[in-house]
Amino acid sequence: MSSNISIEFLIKVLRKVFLFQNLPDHLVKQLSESIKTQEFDADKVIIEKGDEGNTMFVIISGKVKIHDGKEKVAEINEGSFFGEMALLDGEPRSMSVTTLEPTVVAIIHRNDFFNVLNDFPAISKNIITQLTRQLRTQNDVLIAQLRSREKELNDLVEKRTEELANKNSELMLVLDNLKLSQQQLVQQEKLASLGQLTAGIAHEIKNPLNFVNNFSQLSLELLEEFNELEDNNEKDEILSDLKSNLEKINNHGKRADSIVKNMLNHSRTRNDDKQPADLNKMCEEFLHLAYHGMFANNPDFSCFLKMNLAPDLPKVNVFSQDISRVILNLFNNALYAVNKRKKLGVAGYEPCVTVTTSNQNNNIFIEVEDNGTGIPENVKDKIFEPFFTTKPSGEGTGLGLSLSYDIITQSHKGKLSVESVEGQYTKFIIQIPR
Amino acid sequence: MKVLIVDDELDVEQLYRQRFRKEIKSGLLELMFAFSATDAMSLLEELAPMDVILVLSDINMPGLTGFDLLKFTKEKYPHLNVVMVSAYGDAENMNKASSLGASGFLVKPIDFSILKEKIFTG
Repeated sequence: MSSNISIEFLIKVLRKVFLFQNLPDHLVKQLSESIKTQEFDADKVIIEKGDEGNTMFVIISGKVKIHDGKEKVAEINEGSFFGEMALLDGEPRSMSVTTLEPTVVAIIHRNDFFNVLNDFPAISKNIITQLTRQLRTQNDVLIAQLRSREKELNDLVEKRTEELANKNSELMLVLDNLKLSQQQLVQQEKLASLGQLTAGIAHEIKNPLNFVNNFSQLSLELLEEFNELEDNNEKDEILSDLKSNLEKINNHGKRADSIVKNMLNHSRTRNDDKQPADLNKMCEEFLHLAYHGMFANNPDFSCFLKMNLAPDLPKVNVFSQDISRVILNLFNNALYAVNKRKKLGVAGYEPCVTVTTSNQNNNIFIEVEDNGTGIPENVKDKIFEPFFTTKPSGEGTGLGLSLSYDIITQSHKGKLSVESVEGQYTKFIIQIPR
Repeated sequence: MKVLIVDDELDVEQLYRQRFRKEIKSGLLELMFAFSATDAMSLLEELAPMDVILVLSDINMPGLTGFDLLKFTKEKYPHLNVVMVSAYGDAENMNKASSLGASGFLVKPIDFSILKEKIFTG
């Protein structure tokens, strides 16, 4: 839309434009006559980036912004011009221009501009000066923007670093608490399994102690009898009894001692190295302990115990107390399972727990099999997970098998596997490399 | 007079034989041993008709328990006295023994003067 602006006014406006300073009067007039003017409302696009451009604009009144998409590069007003770059090099527009308020612009066509340029080449210097100024301004704007971005980024990095450091120390605290809880849980599990054993231990110690007491008392009586005797044959008989009694006392004393040692080892925290251990003896002792523990808590309980222990089983380097915990845990589970099945009251059921040891290809195998309730297929994958238990709440910590699994696979580089058919049997297989 | 002693501890044999040394020597007493309830049952069946007057059985043994043996004995040979022996002298065990027909209950360690009394005075 053309507006009614007089040539005189346009001349005045053009004079103010830096580009046309020093331009002779007749050329200003010539340019003014070729110029068209146009009015724009606020927020109207005058130039769109990427458009072909063969005109430049001088702002007669109003205000525009030069922008690249949403990124504002500059605001210019009355007396300023824009669009000269596309006009000079013939390339598409490099920026968009949008009015900020109602604006009137003068439009100078490329041909008219070059006519003036031909007639008065001196304005080239103006053009160069103007372009240099623009470049400098844009440069300053860009550098300022970069600086501000850089500061924002630095601030952000600083803030994030601080947040991370805070989170980190929180996590360290949580980790410490977790480690503590874990230690407590492991200790609780140890005490729980020891608790189950208390009655068994009492029985297993009381038995040898009874023998020690009985045989020593008997021996005293035999000695008194000996002193009164005159028949040499009878004396010899008593002497041989005395010798045999002393051997029995010694054996049963050692038996009680070994049980107490095992019990202490069982609850102690591991701090020593691996030691050669007789796994057959360990199986035998702990199966009896577990059995008597079970019996003491369930007077109706009974079960066949079978031991197929390889007579030539070599000693193996293990953490004894850890392995004994695994074995005990498996025995306790096996006895629990047969007791549970027995309580179902099916006639003819004979509970039985079998422990088998063997030595194959430099691997020691300990198999603990029971003909109890078996493991349902849908929980087989979960039994080694911490806190998984099928026992009523309060009866199991859910850590027994998970700790056992860690002890065998991590501390001993072995394998712990399970075979089971629900309602028929369960077999745990420990494999320890020699 | 025959007494059958049932216990899974092998050393009870030497203990009892020495304790009753004089009685055995004089022919007053004959001791027999079984080291599981199952062995005791087959021994009793082998001996029938029996001259065993007393069975002295441990309760807590692997496999069949002393209570299983008590039931078996009281069903087949009701006249035969059975005395139970246990390391656990709790009321539950004692009540169970007497309800199944045991004629006595001894807690380990055994007081042999009481046992002798039981054997020789019935």
